[in-house]
Amino acid sequence: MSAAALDRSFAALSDPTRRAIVSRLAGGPARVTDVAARFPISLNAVSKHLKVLERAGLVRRRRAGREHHLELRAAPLREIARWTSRYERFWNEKLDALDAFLEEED
Amino acid sequence: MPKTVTLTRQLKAPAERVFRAWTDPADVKRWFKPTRLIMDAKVDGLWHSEVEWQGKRWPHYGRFTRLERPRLFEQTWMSEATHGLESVVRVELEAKGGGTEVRLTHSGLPDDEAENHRKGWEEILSSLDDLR
Repeated sequence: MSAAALDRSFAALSDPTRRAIVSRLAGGPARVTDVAARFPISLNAVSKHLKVLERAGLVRRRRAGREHHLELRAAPLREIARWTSRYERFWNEKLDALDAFLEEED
Repeated sequence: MPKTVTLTRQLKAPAERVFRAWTDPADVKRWFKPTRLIMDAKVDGLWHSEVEWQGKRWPHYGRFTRLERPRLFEQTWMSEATHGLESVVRVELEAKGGGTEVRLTHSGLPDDEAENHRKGWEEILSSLDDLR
């Protein structure tokens, strides 16, 4: 994941409404209208939030006739999860290096 | 709230070899690639290493607290990233599948800046396991 893509994901998730949308979609795909019904804001406002999430690649929208279905894209979220801990990433890299070092020696 | 990071890796080399790679300074230099390293690998021995990571130099300091060759060692670990806290790195080595399973536990870490977002993400991330 590029730094720019990561930035977009972080920015997209910095808003509580968008986090709630992502959380809802983590339970399974849903129709736009059903997602919107959960929030005390206008459909238009929800649409704006959805656009941000789509641009960040976190949510995908599919048309089924007149209905719009939303689903979560797991890959970028997993990538973000890996970034939640600096030391987790640090150790992952170091263990990669240890692995490569020992393999080389074989 | 201090936090703990745990990673597990399967390596082909025997535990004795992996233990040496972590505790012999000549080996450590070759894979950990510190820009500086001072290491006295014995209980109560001190170590200092400086690593370049993500465009920045990170000096680290600590002390070996346990060395049980070849299955376990533990060292304290302090750096700017631990905000001066003395965190603990424990590495356990277990012979497995003709090689060694490495289990690294880094505990006593402070919440870092990314962790500020954690509360919001917790529910999101906890749902991830359900995703296909």
